[in-house]
Amino acid sequence: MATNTDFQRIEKKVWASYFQDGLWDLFMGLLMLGMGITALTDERPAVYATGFAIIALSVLVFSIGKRLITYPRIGRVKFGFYRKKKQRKVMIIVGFCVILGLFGSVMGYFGLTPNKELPDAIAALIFGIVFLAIFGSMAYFMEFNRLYAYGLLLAISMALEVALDSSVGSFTMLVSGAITVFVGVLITLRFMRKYPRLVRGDLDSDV
Amino acid sequence: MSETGNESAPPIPNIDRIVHEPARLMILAHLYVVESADFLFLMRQTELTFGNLSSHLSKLEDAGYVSIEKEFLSKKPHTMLRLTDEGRSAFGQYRQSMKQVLDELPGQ
Repeated sequence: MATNTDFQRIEKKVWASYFQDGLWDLFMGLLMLGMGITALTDERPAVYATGFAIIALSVLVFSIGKRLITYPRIGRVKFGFYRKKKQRKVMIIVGFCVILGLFGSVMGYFGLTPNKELPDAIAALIFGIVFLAIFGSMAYFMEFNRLYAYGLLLAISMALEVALDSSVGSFTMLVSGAITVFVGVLITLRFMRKYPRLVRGDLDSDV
Repeated sequence: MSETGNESAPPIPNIDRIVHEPARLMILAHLYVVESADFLFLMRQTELTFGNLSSHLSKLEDAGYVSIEKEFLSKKPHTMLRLTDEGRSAFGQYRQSMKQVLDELPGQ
């Protein structure tokens, strides 16, 4: 007999189905790639422009991917009040994160580095903790476990970038981003194989 | 539900047969946990075929438990499904009835 626990399981299964498409992985991977490129110790405007473009691409890939890949394959759902409240919290965190990323990139471009009086190790720790907190919160509210790993990679990369006066952090971020994009592509392809597009005419007749 | 034939046994509550059918129970359970879902989503979640789902949804709509709203999304026809208040109430009542039946079963 269905208990409240069973309903929670069903709701969680329904919610989790929206993460099978790999788009969050692609978003995170491209975000890391873009941030890694802008963090490279290179003052050519083209490099920064490329980084910003990839960060913008991450948002585009996500939104367009949902419309062209996810919805035509598994349909659409409007979640209840409980899940909507959690989604709102996530959107606030995501918005803050994107703005923070862009702000950090702009600061780097104009040479406005963090407070020089703060020891690099402390600044690195603070950066790492902030990023971990942001993505950990997102992972918690979204109940999306892979995001903990991506958040950790990003936090480590950011901390290395701040702590070491070299490109180690940038390359760590680039590598992390590349791996995450690769994972995202694999998950997306698996999703597309598992849920082939149905012929449109099958869906909206005789109901 | 069949009668036990035992006069001292507690009466078995009426089980709503519209809800009780396994496929419809699955449909209602999925609609119960969301605000609304489209036909494709429900089909993927319940793993019912198009015809099967369509047939069960028609019965649920006739019973007043599910509302089926056709709309256009980017010029494409789109069907959204949601439980009506009556449907939520019927589903809740079904849960209570089944719980009662199972709680009153003799212990092993």
